[in-house]
Amino acid sequence: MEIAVCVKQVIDTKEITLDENNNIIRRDGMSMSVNPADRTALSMATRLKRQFGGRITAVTMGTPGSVSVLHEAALMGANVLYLVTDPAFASADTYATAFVLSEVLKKTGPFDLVLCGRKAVDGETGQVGPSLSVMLGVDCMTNLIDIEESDCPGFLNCTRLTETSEETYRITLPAVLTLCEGILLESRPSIAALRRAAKIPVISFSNQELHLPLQSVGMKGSWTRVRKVSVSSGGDRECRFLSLEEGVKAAAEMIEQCKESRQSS
Amino acid sequence: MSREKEIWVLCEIRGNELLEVGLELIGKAASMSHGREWSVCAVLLGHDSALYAEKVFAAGADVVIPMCCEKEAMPPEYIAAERLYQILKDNRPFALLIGAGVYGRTLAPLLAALLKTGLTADCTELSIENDLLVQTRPAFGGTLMAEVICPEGRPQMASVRPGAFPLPTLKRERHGTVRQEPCSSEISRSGIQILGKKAFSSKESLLKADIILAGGAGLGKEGFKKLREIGDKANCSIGASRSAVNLGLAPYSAQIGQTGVIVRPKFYIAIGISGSVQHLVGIRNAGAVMAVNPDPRAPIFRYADIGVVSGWKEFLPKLEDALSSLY
Repeated sequence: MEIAVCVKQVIDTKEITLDENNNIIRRDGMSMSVNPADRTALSMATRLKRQFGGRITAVTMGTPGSVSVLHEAALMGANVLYLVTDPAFASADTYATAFVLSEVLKKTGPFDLVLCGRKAVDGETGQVGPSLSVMLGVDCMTNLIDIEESDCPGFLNCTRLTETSEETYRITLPAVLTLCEGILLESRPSIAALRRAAKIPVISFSNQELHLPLQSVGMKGSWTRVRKVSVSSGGDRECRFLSLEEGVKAAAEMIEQCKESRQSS
Repeated sequence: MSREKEIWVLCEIRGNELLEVGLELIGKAASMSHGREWSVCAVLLGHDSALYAEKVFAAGADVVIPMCCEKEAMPPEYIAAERLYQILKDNRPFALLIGAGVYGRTLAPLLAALLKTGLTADCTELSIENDLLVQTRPAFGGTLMAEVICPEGRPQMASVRPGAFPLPTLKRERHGTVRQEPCSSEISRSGIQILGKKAFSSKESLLKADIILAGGAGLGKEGFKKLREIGDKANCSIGASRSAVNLGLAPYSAQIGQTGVIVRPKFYIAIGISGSVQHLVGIRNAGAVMAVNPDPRAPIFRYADIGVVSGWKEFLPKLEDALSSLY
């Protein structure tokens, strides 16, 4: 099975600065790591590779520095590493990001399965996976907590988390599937695996290789624009500070009052 | 018929119930189109959708489009997206608003990619400025607010969490027109087949809770255990900050904020929550807010009516005692 996993490098959101000119967040010199849900996607890919054989290709788009997430992906079992980086791809919204990723996957595929995290902890949009499926022309299912081999050959069984239920589906490939964060299946890599991972070369794609029209990538290829970024204004409540004892008393009284009105209504 | 002056709202029907977020969005769309002579068009998605037309008219819709839906179950998102695409591709409205549940958050980007237009996730405020829908959302971990626009793509698409806007008052005397759109049923290639469904126990949703005790990451396992004990005894709901949920201290369903649940309790107590913007937008509709935090400079105090500078270890046992003396 040929599996591609899209991974995103995310910054520690506590370390944010604004770029005065164009409202873009500077990413130099901050601590970076693999987005948590993308880790789940990688660990799921590793399990599927064990069951079905094949290869895992990890793809990330970002600054040259995002190569570090590919090294992490290699430690988790990725066999092929793609770094998609070009100043022309910068400041892309979810549409333009999905477009470039879809072109890379078309050029290097075909893939039986494309796995993504259900959302990134920085933007939290969860839009790239579904957009990618449309651009690749394959089915899409989001918010999965498990992917298993199906009784029917050629199918996969997926468990999906919704607000009210856990649903199981049988899907055919190819497909784009997105995974929830928090489920990690991998064990610590062996020394041999670490050695193998260190030898995997990172293959870079810039627009010299991809030849995408400049109006379709980066900020120009984005339908949305961030017009203004501002520090949120202060709240509209006046805070009255109480001592611990007074506060506890006030809380207990408020809880009591709310419950009385609950009973009377 | 031109749709440039129409705001469309997608309304999901689940288990014979119209999801309230649809009505909230119709209310918001109606207030934005007020004074402009624009119309609000509700697309009803689900089984027997035509039955819900009166309700959405009462909420502020002028036009209803019932989407065909053969079975009780909702169509998979990509099928719904393709059907909507067929209706929208050649004649595009000004904007399309979608409730941001799991279903809507999948359907919206599929549809935006098909239509080749912009989509902003989890907006907390919307307004119209000339020919633009100004979409405001907390960004970058909720430390900042971003205003997003989509200058060229139409419709301008936005997803919005349930509870972000108030439920409109229903005016039963309001009526509108039902518009039938051709529904292409040949798009039912389905590589996806449902095998089973396990419904969660229907605990009262945080959205309807009147008292919420919410904890932050600093509470740890021990603090959340204490919080749950108090919640069980005093019959209060338990909420959590995003970082607490990320640490596995509480389930995702307990997450309060822009990307969790937007709540409107009568009384909200935030314990050990510093107050990032993405959390604060989740509680701005709360009645009284009390903040308990050891750091007197924590932003949460600027959004609270009552503040107590204290750690959870001091506060929670005392609260437990105070409450048990009442019962």
